Amino acid sequence: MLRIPRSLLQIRPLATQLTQSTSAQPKPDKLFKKIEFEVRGHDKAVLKSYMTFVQSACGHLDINYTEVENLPYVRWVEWLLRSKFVHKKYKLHYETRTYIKKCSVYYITGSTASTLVEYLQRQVPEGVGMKVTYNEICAFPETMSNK
Amino acid sequence: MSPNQDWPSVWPAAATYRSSVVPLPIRMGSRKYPEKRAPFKRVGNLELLKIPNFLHLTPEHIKRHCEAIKKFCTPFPKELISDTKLAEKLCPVTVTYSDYLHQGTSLRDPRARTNTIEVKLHSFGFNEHDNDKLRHLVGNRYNEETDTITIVTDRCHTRKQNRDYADFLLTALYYESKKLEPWEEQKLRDDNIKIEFAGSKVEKRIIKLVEKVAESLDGEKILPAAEAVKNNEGNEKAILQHPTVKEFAETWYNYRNQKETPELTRSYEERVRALLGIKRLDSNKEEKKP
Repeated sequence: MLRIPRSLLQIRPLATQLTQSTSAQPKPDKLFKKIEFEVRGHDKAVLKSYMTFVQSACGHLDINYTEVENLPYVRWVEWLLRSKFVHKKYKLHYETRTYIKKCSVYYITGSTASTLVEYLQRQVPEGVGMKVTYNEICAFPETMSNK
Repeated sequence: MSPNQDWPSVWPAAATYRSSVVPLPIRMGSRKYPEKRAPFKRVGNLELLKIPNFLHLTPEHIKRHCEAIKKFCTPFPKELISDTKLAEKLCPVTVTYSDYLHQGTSLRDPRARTNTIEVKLHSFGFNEHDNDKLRHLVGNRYNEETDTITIVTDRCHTRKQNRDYADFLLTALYYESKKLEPWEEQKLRDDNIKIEFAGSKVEKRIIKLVEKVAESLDGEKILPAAEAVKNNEGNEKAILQHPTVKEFAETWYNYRNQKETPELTRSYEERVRALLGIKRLDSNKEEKKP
């Protein structure tokens, strides 16, 4: 392997580094009326533990939260014939249940929301899916400001 | 293993269960007769490995994590929580969007790009004409009971684009409703959203009826409104200003513009009786008004 001395190598800065603006105006914080967390999974116990973690985290960060709401599970059912040939009367019943739990937090700012949501999403266990619904309150768009 | 060991240091992150490290006497497994034999012990137990454990999220863990991230949180302005009017004035628009987190082949979820914008109509600060025009433009996206306009955008690829499109729609609606086009003078009574009493056939009929009664009767039984006519010598405005007619107009407006219910029909009946002087048979045995 031919080793090129560093002095002969021409180092060119990346194009993105040149155009990056150093003076970025800090944007005002967003305001959220409500953020709702919905978790879905096949294991009820795992979801329950996760929700206790969510509530405890909100408690530590001084965020108002609601009680955990349990929604009815979504069921997927399939029956298969037990025998290779004939015997329609005897089947095997396979079923999948997706349990759903919901929890909301009220009146948080954008920075609090991003920290909380990132923390919670990092700790989501395996086999659990999460949906976060944001209800953001904001003023009219700037294009409407001059009456 | 000391009972006072610092558990967050022993188990800092999410990991599969290790029976040698966890000192708890747990048993897990399905047995045919659980009352005869206990579930399987923790050493060498595959079931304990399979399920996700929360040993990395004990109360002590959560406390320490929250202490570390607390500095990034900001408090919500209390004035906006306590004073709803102020919140409505400063932040009239509510935007709803969702994030989806799941194990799948792709990181993206196409449902995440929809935006739902909700604005209350009175927060625009419009006069009657602009209000009416906006309602015509917006159509069935306006809910009269809650006075909200709901706009759902998902035609663009990204959430930001959809949000910008929704902002554009709001701006366009705002400025369009303010404009007065020359063809708007051709608006007919049929184009109104609600059926108005003023200019309706009922109004004309009432006026005619009262005038006829006023000139034909000898004073025995007189419509309440006819009295006004007799006193003021026949003025349309006086008839319409009479309290009985006004009440009738209000009930008629409600009856014509809302879904028909028995209660509404009954209240309409009451007003018609009051207007025409027809008393119920069971309460009063006098003859009906011709």
